[in-house]
Amino acid sequence: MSGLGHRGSPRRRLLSGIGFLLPNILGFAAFTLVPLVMSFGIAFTDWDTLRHNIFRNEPLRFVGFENFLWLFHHPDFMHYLANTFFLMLGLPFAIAGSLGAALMLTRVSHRPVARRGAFILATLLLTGSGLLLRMGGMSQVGVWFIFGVLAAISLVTGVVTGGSVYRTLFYLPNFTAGVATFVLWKKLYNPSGPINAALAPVLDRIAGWVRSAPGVFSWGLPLTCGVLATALMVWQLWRLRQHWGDASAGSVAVVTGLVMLALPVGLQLYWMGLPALTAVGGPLGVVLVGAVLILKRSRRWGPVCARDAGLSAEIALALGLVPLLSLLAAGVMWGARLPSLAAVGLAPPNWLGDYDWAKPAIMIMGLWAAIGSNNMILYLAGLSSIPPELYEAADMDGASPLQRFWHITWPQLAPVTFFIGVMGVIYGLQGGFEMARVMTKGGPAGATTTLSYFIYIEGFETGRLGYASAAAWVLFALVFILSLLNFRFGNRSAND
Amino acid sequence: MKRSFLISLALLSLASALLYWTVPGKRTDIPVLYWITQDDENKRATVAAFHQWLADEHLPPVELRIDNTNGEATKKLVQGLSGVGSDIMDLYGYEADLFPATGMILDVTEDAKRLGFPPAATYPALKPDFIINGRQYGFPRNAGVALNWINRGTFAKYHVPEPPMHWTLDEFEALGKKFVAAANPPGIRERVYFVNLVPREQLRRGLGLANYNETDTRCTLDDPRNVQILERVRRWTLEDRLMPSREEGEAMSADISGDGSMFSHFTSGRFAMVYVGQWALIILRPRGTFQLRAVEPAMDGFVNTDLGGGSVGVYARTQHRKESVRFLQFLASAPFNNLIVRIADGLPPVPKYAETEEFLRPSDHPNEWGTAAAFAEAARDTGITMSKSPFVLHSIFYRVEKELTEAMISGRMTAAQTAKAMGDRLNQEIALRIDRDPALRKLYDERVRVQQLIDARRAAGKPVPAAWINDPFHLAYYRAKGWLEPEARP
Amino acid sequence: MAETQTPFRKKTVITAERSGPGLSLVLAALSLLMIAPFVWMALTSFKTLSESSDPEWMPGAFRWSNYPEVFKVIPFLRFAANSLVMAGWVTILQVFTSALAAFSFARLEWPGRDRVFFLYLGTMMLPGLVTLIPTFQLMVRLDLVDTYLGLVLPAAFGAFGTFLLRQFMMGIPRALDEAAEIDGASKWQIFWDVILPLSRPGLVTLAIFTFMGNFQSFFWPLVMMKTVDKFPLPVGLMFFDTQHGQATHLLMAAVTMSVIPLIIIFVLLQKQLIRGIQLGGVKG
Repeated sequence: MSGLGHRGSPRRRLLSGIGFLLPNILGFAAFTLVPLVMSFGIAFTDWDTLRHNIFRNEPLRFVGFENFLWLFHHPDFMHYLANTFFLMLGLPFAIAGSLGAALMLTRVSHRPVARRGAFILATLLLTGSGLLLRMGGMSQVGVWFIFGVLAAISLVTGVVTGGSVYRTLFYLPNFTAGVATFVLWKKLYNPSGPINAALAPVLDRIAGWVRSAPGVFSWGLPLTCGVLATALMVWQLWRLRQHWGDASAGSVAVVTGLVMLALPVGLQLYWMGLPALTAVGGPLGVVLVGAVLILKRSRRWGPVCARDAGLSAEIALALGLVPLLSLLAAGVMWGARLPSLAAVGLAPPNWLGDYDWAKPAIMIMGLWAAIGSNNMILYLAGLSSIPPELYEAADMDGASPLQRFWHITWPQLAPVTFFIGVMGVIYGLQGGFEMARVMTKGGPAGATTTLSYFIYIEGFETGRLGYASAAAWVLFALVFILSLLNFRFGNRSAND
Repeated sequence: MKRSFLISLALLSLASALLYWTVPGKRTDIPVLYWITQDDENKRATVAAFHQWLADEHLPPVELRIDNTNGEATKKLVQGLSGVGSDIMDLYGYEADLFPATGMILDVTEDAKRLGFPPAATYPALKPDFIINGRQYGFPRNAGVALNWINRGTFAKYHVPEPPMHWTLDEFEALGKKFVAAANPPGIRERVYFVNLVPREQLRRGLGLANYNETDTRCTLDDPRNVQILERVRRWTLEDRLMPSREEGEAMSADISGDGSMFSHFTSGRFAMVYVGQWALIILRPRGTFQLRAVEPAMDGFVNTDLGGGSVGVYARTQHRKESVRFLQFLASAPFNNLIVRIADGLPPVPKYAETEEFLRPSDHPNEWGTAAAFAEAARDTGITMSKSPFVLHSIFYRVEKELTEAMISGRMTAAQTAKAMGDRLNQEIALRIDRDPALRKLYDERVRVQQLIDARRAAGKPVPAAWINDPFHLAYYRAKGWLEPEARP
Repeated sequence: MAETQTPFRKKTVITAERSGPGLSLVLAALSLLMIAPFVWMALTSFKTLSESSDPEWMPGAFRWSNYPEVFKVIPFLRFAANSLVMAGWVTILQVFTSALAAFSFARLEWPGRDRVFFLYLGTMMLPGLVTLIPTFQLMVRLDLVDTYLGLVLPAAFGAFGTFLLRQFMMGIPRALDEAAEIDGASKWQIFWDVILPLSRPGLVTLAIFTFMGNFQSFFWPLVMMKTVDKFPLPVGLMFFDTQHGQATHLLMAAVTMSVIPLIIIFVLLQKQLIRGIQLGGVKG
């Protein structure tokens, strides 16, 4: 029995509920809901801004589902859909990154020390290095010098402020206006830009190693990766079987685990040459059939909650395994080809211009932005609200740090993770528009065109807003379904 | 916390009031016109010249302000179509046919005849850029032709002979291979390229193939001649490595994220040639004095170059119609054309100014002599505007062509598959548009009938009336081949 | 209210062992990685145009003149002021109305509550692009195009803030509300005196997110504004794109300058955040 206002008539409760809601909902209705409904209507018409505007006011024609049918006939629609989902693969990395950052930031805090003295020291360092730079002249050495000085300054300020300067430093990526960040990274990814300039000597070194021992790489690498990958998959399958056996983690965990396993398998098949749909659809189909079988088992699964260590551990493991297995799959695929590539010399890729590297380039940029991002702040807030008694109890039981994380921290952060997950899915699936517009214009041969960029092209560059609205609502449906799953599962537990 | 909330509220209100009151008001005595264009010294010089010209011609004064928030059509489109566009706008590339089609641009045919900036005042070949269906929708503010700029220093450095003014594709390939062999000894880290890109549309036209057929009713890119050209491009990029693969297309468009790196590479010698318009001088001049030459892009068959104009249009719902139209008149005037000659922002829209000594041999830049003449000659003799179809938005055409070519270059498709895909996609697009737009469908049906007549005549070897042909390339091609009916004498 | 331990002791309880210098070094190294693109950006702001496309990090000579030149090319202060004020208004409106709405969703029970909440959530799922033109036409009809108000209003009411604050509020123990209710407090008093102060971490978090996000918004202001003097900063940065290339060095200088007020605001706000977390509601 919780919540206020459980006394009083439903009518009174409604009034007070709406009363609080009113300021927000008025603005919301006017500026969000109305255009939304309009755009829903537009999706069923042939609205073309070129023909239906104040100059050429032709009558609007209702076309029913025609726009949607056209959408599925568009030769690249599936491609763009796949792009959108592919870029979402960065989400586990982003969550892990921001969580890791938050954890480190929490642990490093300590008493601020001798403020005045340290500030004086920092200022001296700064001016001294500025003078040295002036005198010493500009060259490649200058860069290392600058970095060294910056590291020293951040260490010193770290000590002074008790670790909170790292917070600001990590959050720095968020300070640049989004467009400026994209421009910045576009310059960084320039084939003759700083990233490649730094990578080139490293790759040369690696190429040298590979050349000197080709056999090791062409056989050893794929073999090791393959063995590791198989071992991991077997282990995960064994764990899932255990869960099935004792129903401790719930059906959801098992299904999630299986789905997560299917993804790297699909990736591997795709790289081996199968068309995208079959490669991913095949394993997923198998998993779904398996899921149905599992769920039809007339066995009572115990009630589970996300804070329950078992379930959240499974989710975390599954999330972590996907990237790992994908990397190993890459090792298997390309390990064999490494020596022949190295013979010609390894060169850093033409990031945004290369069909295969454009998406990973975007994901790297996304990861950089995600580590010190809003998610990190949310995790910081969440970490601070974990009751210390839990940790004290664990310490008394002699828990190792890993166990503390696994059994206390991670489950306690479940509401935050849930929020980040929902938001990540929602914004991730909708994203990519600004990035594509500024950085890649849709990428080499449509490699970085996400659904939202496609909507932009169709709606704005060609004026066919009806068609674009239909595409947007398809995207909406996808996001809705995914969020529904996420919500129904997570909301229950976050409410406990 | 509540205190800080209230404090910030107070601060914000204060700041908003300040901001609001300090927005410069509009002076009501002189009308203010907004011109959507790039904001740089050249444009500002143009604005100053416009004000001066108004004074000299004893016309009522006007204040022209630059509004630099362009880069893509989105803002112009959304605002324009909702009734809040700017008075004067630059129309780049595909906007020149898109915007008038929406009704957003003022029809100035009558004003042009009256005030002296009719189509006859500029290069005849530029007409398709601002004349749609016989009505005039603006006036060009410069004419652009793209040729291969040659950095003579780079050629001399590697002891490779410079290309001649007119050369064939095979000669191009041979010289190119020789150059990259000489310029790229084994182990070199940064590759030196021969040229940044080759103009695919012009190469196709050399073989007699345009993007569309004579009446622009069908995309003809699935023709085997396109396969030939694509195959060459693929070979040159991937195997001979005469050109870099990524920058294709990007250098030519007024891309807001285009950086000047193409020019850096040109001046530093990583590109022996760049294919770009005469406006390159604006960027090259500040970077130093280079020995420059301009030659035609290599092609087989029918020699043609890419002529385009940046045209300026007037918003149909402007509050200042008379004054905005005056600006168009200014574009045809002597002071403006002289300005263009001086700042080398392309060719002046009125052809006779491209024949002046000042233009051909600018006294300050002897290293450029010869290039201006090449550009002027190309604009006059071989320049043809790009092929556009009323049934396909050029933005779509550009995107499809570019994406498919990139897909071919990254190895995902062969040349033959690419050509076929281009044809299929664009013809699908045509079908889509005429399906939705009844007026367009009518036009399409008419034109298809004319096309059938044209095909019949060609098959019988008989000449075709010029009025039947819509596409500028085919018009020029037919004329050159003598396939046109003799034109009626006035 | 749970007994508040002193801030430092609370933190050291979570970190069972004192974090050694190792962690500081790791953090310093990581932060270098995070700020590396910014170092590049700051260095490029001192270069000449042709140097800005080179892979070399260091400029040939430090051209401090780039910075005053930024002010010549664009009215930087004006743009920055526009951005700050707009973002400030949006933040205040958003935080306030979201707090009210979140209270309604998190604490009050009324028929249809969860369904309305899901509707809220659902509206976030549609890509904003397609509502751009309908919203724009709405603005035209309301005559709000090219006005500051037109920039602020559509951004100030969103579902995101409500969602975030609801999650935060749901983490506050209900025992406190019930105690207050027993004392005879009205719903408004419960909101204002109990829940709101305890949600301070949430409020500050939302403020930070909203402010940063709105400061960076580019597309909507691009389409809405016509008068150059009203442009916010991201749109104003477009002035560095000339027809013949981008004045990268100046752009980087402008961006470097624009980061500074944000850092200041963040440092101020995050102090609030930490203090709020430390003194705020801890699970009893």
